[in-house]
Amino acid sequence: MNGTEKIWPWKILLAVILIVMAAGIWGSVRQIDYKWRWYRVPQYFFYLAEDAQKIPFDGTVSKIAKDGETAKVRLVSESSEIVTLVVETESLKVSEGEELFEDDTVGFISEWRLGPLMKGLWTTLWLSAIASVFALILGLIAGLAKVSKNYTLRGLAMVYVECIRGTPLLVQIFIAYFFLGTVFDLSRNVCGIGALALFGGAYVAEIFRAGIQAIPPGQTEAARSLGMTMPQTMMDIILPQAFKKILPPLSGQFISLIKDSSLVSVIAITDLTKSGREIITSTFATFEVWLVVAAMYLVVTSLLSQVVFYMERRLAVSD
Amino acid sequence: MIKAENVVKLFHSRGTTVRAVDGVSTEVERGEVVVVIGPSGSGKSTFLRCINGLEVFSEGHITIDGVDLADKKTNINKVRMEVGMVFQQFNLFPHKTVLENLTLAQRRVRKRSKKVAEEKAMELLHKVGIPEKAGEYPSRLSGGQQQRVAIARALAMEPKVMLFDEPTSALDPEMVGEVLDVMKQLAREGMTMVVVTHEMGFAREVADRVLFMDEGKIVEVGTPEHFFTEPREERTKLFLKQVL
Repeated sequence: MNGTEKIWPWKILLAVILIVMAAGIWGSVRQIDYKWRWYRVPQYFFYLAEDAQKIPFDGTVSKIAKDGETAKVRLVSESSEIVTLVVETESLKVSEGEELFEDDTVGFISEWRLGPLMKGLWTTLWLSAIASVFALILGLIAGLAKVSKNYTLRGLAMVYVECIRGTPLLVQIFIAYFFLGTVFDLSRNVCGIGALALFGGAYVAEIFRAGIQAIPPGQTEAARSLGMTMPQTMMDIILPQAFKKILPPLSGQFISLIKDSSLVSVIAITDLTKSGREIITSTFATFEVWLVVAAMYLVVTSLLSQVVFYMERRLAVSD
Repeated sequence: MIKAENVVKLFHSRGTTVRAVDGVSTEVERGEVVVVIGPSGSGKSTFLRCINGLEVFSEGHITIDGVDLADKKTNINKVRMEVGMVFQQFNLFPHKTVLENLTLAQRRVRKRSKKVAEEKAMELLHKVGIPEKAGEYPSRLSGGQQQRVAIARALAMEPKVMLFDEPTSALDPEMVGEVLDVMKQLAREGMTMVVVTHEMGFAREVADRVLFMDEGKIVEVGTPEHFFTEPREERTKLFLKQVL
């Protein structure tokens, strides 16, 4: 590469290629009979829920105190119980002195709620977060076992890593839920998180092993020659340096884990993917929903990449 | 101080066995500076590394201040507290500042408080002439400065013996002097030192005794005067002709 080469013609070329590809897809979609209904999507992010406020007994409206947007309705039962309900003034359905029966609607309170897409996203996030933490712990233990001098520890770590990496995650989730879940009476969330953590841990173990082995042996020798024990050497010298080296592959692994978490939808955990599928069954907006779900995963993984990029720059001060 | 008796170190690789150290016996008195010279592959570094247990020797005995390294009950970490080591490649901890490099083992192993450890560290940085680098990371230092920090790091543990494994071999020529000056000062202060080096000038000036090793054995021992003026052995003469 020479430094004088202009970059803007290539930027234009990139833009042209992307536009042509988008136009191609757009044209192909036009060929088939599909009615786009984007307006249906937003309500699955947030929606305005109207909750009816009902009288819990037979009684009368003793007083209505209007206070701008809301109104306080005081209700008295035949046995002189008093209940005050707050409703929106506009939705008020009763007047002072009116007699009501149990469960009659007095008015409504409306409130913004999270739609299924946001709830699914939340499930995906916490599921992945917990699975990541366990994957990190498992991976660290298995990674240390892999570089251990002890044959048994090395063997155990090898069996774990090979079994997990040699079988599909989908099958592991089925085994975790239908076999282990049944035998040990575990909930679907525990099975889902457990399968993801075990799966991620096997890959994290290999990343840790590589990172530890990439630290020059002179570092261990220097620490040991100062009288530090092997655990102290690991904690203070090897792992901090290894961690810095493995941050990029480690973050890649966690991004994979977020994406792989979509597979837990097969054991009926309502994550982002399952929410998408449920919305489609009621709206038939297949194209829109899957595109939106993909975009939501993309936003999460991009944000994580940015965080890692920032951490790498912070850790680079000693280079 | 250090007593080595018939030390043998075997390396096994692909079915062949190499006698890297082949029956070395010697003694180092308190306050003595012993320089070990010899061609590469002569086993001198391996022997040095046996003294603080970085290499586990196969046969023989090494006792340091009366403690037998070959004894299974010996806590090697206790021995290493008393035996400082300086490496060819410095081996500073790159993720820690110079000050942290000097205080870490003091705090973890000697269990000193942060304040005491830092005072000791600064005192030693003054001694090696770079107190202004305390807050820097090793990567910002020249090779000579890094090696001086490495010497200070070993000294911070207040060892009874200092081992130097070719401490100037990885340095640019103009930086050799500053490291040798620190080592000479240490020798004058009465530190017990075993130095593996190719610096014949240092050996001549500072050594109380010179060991010449070849093929895992000590070929010749003597004072620097004897050694550089009238060596007995043919191999010693040949080696000196090549390096001088």
